[in-house]
Amino acid sequence: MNYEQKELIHAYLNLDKQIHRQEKRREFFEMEFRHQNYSGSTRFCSNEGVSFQGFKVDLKVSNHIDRMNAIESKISRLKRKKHYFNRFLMTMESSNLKSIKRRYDVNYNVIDDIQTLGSDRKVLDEILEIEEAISHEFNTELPRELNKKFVSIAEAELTEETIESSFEAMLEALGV
Amino acid sequence: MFNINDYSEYKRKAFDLSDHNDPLSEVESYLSSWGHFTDFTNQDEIFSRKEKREAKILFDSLHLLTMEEITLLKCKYETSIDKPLITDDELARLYCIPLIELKEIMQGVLYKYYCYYKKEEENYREKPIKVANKYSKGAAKKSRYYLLKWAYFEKNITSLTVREEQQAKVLFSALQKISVEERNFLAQKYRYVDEEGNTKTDEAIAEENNMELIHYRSSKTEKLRGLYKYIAEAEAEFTDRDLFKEINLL
Repeated sequence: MNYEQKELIHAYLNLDKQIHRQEKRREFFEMEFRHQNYSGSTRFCSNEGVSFQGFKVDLKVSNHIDRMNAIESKISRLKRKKHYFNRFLMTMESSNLKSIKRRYDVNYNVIDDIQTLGSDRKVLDEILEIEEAISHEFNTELPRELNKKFVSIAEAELTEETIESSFEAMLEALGV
Repeated sequence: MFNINDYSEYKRKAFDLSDHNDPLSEVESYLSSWGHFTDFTNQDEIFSRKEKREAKILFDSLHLLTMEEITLLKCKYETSIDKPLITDDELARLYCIPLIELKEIMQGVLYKYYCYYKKEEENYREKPIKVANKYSKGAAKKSRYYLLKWAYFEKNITSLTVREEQQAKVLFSALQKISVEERNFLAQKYRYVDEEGNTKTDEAIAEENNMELIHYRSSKTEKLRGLYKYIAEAEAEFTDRDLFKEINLL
């Protein structure tokens, strides 16, 4: 398995942390906005002399609302992912589940050293399907690394058996 | 001598032809190199190819004007080390007409000259059309350039850059048009690679197919040449040469 694929599984097993981090971010930006100074300030310019600059309401408020909406949509996406993924984990055998949780419970630095087993492949396939479902649900663009078609092309071996199937798949993927 | 009404239609034409809506300043920039060309007429080595082309357009379109108009332009724009620039006041005194009238005439002549210049420029812009054949220069080499990336494109389809994706489109749309046997023949050499990305040797493939080395190589080059026709078509369709132009402008 790739480093990026391992990282993806690692990220899915730590979805709770990601949601928590986003909520903390939301709190922080809210606090930052509420606690700033709304009054204007004076400044010195050589052409104009001393002038007064007010608080730009339109700009600051619209920026703040956009940022909040972005974070909230991100949280809702993560929660949806968590919902699907937990439902999948319930169907797995308990021994496989235990081994996955044990192996992937590491720091970011050590992801490359994780040992992979056959059951990880199943988890990755499920994750790719979840990503596709979420891209349909929230109308977001699915990146190529998470698209099942592209991944299957990249992982096929370059032999005589795969030439026709992968050739047609490439034509579809490139849109020729 | 000059009739102002003759030039009224050229003004409208000139504005239609110009891209920047400012034909007068364009014409003056063309004519400013007149003196430069006449100073060094006998020394062809000084000029670059672009400058030679500009000189041809400039003088060919000048010959389409009447003799009086040429002399008027020559008085003002043909400058050199010995003959410095003439102001409009001095020109009006030479022609014995008021300054305002001379300026109107000068503008009319410039608009007329601009129309001729643009027509002449189109003639020189035309280039002979090259038709891609299997006999065209470097045909086998160019199709080999794309085929060597076949395995790379399949392995790294998830992380191709914009330029690489264009090249992949060129290769696969060309391979689509040849027959399956030819495609498999080329795949033996260019698709089945090692982990390091090295292709097999010709001798090993010739042994697999029970062919002699010379016959294998000649048939391979024939197929590469045949593929180039479709690659050239696809290149014209898919490659976007102005891809990074907008970025440079910023």
